[in-house]
Amino acid sequence: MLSRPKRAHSSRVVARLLQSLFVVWAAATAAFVLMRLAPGDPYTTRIDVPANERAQWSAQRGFDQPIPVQYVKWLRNLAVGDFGQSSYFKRPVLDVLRDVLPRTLLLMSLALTASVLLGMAIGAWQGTRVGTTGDSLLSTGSLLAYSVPEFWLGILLVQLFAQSLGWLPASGMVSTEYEYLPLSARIVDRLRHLVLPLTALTLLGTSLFARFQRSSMRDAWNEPFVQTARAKGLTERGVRWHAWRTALVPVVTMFGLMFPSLLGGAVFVESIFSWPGMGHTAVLAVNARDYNLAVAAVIVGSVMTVSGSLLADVLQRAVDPRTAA
Amino acid sequence: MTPLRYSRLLAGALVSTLLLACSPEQQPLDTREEGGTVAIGLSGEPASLLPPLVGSDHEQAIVEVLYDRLADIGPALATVGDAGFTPRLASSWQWAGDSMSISFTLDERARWHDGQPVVADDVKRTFELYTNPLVESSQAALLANIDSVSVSPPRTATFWFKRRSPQQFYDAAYHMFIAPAHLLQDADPAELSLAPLGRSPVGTGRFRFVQWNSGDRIEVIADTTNFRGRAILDRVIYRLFTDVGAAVVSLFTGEIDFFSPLPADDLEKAGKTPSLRVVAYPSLKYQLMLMNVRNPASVEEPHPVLGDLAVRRALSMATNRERVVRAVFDSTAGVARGPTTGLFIPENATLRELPFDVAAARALLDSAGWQIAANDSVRAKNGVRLRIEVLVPAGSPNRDRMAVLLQDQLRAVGAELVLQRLEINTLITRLERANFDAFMHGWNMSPGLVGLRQVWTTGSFGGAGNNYGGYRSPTYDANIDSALSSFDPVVAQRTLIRALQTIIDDAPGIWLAEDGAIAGMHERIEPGVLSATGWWHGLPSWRIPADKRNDRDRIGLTPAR
Repeated sequence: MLSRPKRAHSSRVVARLLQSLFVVWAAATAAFVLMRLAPGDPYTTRIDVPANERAQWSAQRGFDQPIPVQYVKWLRNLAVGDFGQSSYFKRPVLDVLRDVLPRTLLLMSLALTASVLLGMAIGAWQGTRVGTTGDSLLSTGSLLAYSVPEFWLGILLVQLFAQSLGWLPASGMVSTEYEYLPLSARIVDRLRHLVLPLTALTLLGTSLFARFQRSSMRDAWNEPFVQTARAKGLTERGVRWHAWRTALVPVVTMFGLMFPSLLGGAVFVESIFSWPGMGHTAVLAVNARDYNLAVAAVIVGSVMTVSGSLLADVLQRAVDPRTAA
Repeated sequence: MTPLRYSRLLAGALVSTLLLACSPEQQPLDTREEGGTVAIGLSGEPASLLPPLVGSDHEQAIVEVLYDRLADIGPALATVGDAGFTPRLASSWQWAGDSMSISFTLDERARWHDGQPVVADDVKRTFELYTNPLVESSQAALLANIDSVSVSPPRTATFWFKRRSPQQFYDAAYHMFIAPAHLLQDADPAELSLAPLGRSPVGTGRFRFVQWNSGDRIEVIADTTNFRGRAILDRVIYRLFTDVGAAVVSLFTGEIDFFSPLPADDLEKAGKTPSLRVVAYPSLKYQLMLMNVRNPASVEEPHPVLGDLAVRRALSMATNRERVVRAVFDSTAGVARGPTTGLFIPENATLRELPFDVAAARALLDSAGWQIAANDSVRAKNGVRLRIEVLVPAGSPNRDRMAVLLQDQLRAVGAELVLQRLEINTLITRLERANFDAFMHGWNMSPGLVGLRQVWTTGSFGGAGNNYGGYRSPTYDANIDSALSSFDPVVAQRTLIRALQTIIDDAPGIWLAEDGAIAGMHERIEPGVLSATGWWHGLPSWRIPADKRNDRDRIGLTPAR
């Protein structure tokens, strides 16, 4: 038999999971309805085909049926894991997701990791040196980086490092000759193609984390426990460590919130660097009125959002056990 | 070992790896006539490489080198009878005495890339798939005059037509790429896109399929045993881009060798890049500002402004089309003379175009009762202002620029153009409901001139075709019908000219640009003449001289690692 606190914890977890499920369902339903209310259907842009013929195709696929009828059918299929066919890619939606999602997750996870590590390091350093020249320079730098739009930064990076200097490839995940290179060269090739999109995505995240970390570190640095730790004879490094752990909570929350927002950033970055990932595919699906794929993209986005939020909770409890109470 | 030594070892290994990776393997000089690899950028990914499902240019570009038609159209793009057509999958053909059927005999040497012989059943099955409504082929409407296909095993396929037509050979031979029946026997037409052949094609073309890495590339190599001879290039790698800009940058950096159409903005830079060559070739596309002649509120009544012939003619005359085209396309496009490209206007045609004459345009509007009131810059008649909402597709910079220039030029005669930039689905929905005044339109002609019927005849208004502006002229309809149905080339030409003159006089649009296409390519590539039907048409004959080949060309026919 579970003890009372454990039982309360379990019901909190169940409630949170149900809440997450509701969020995903609500987002998917809203996307389903809005996509069908938007002008056009999957055949609209095939303008070379007479409208009457396109209307016949639409009816064949059931797009002329009332939205509730289409919704029930879609929900029934979804319940058995069938996301349907992509009208644009002419493939099962799951096959398309299987191709594009790992590419975006690779880019996002690397960008997020780099942003967190760099941002925390820079912010923590600044937080203990508030008001110094170094702090001012880094603050100005991070503000500048934060205010630069990702797409503009991406274009700038391509112009400079790919077109002008020719140091790095401008686009794609691998080179044209990739399949015919030896293994070592393939690894290098993949890394070279990651540099520019990753930089574009990381810079914004780093500046954001740095600003949060600096602020929370500065607050923690002025707390009485820091003085106490010093009075107890703890080394300066030890004092910093204690202060940093306390200053982690807002950064961890930010980590969870940043997780889905990177997907938004990936939309621009994927287009500029021709990185065939989820962001670009989602935009394509909406423009092509690829109903099934667009709704699946929303489901993926909402799953990432609730996962980020759950992850933030878990990490928050890990760094600050008081929040678990 | 100390940590320092470890890090030094690691650094050494990394440097060695980088050096190895960057140094090309020494290869003996290749002196063969055949050889070379071309990396071609496509601004999109095909959905399927199954012939009946092909719709976009980037699908057509690949399917055309993997599959064959029964016969190929000649360089003059003639579509009357079989004049100019050359054998492809069919080695010969025979017309029935009453011209109601044509029998194609397939080349006995023709083989599918899996080694199976090409048989008449392949033609029959292909026709069935193309015309099955469940397949949703965009070519189906073009095959409407073909009643059925019968076979005389093993290699004779006979097309039976519903009625005699000058274009019946073109209909049978040109619109379909023949697909392998033995790999499609069990395919469900409603789910044809799921057939494995769509992503792993088996054709008869001079290139054979190698691989398709979704989102990244599609590769084909020369079919060395092809019945029409192997392609000269060893390999073509189609790089799939999510964005035109990214493809153009990759052309400049050498990551790809070829991209078309090259945007006009990049021409100057391409011209200054020593490794690149810019090649212009004809296109079948023209652009116009389409005017809705019907009232959006009640399509049987004339449009309150553009239903007036004098207004339409005056707007055309007030437009300096030459200036618009030069400002937007520089020298890469010509001024359109009517609703077609110059390629399809008979050489001896003397078409009277509406002259650029602002004074005459003003006078015409004055005489039609469109006056400018005091303290106003826009004309009005009976309380209706000469105000036109122009729909512009968002993300179409050339059409946007043309619209802005028109807005400026037409202001001079007291017309107010209000530009409405719309997302493409919203825009098309409004077009199909005739809920618009004017639209920055572009149309891609096909060799058979069916576009002249599909876009401008009275019967093609309201869903049966693409006559969005509701243009109606019994004279045009009758002449275009004669032009497309007459077996006498002289009559066909004469009636085509009459039809074009009628529509030019009626001015249901301001004819703007007759596009030329521009390709940017690496200077080592010799593509021959690029066809108006698509740059890819002669791809199997492209060559790279042995003394100009680079590391990419030395990939050869070897399989990937």
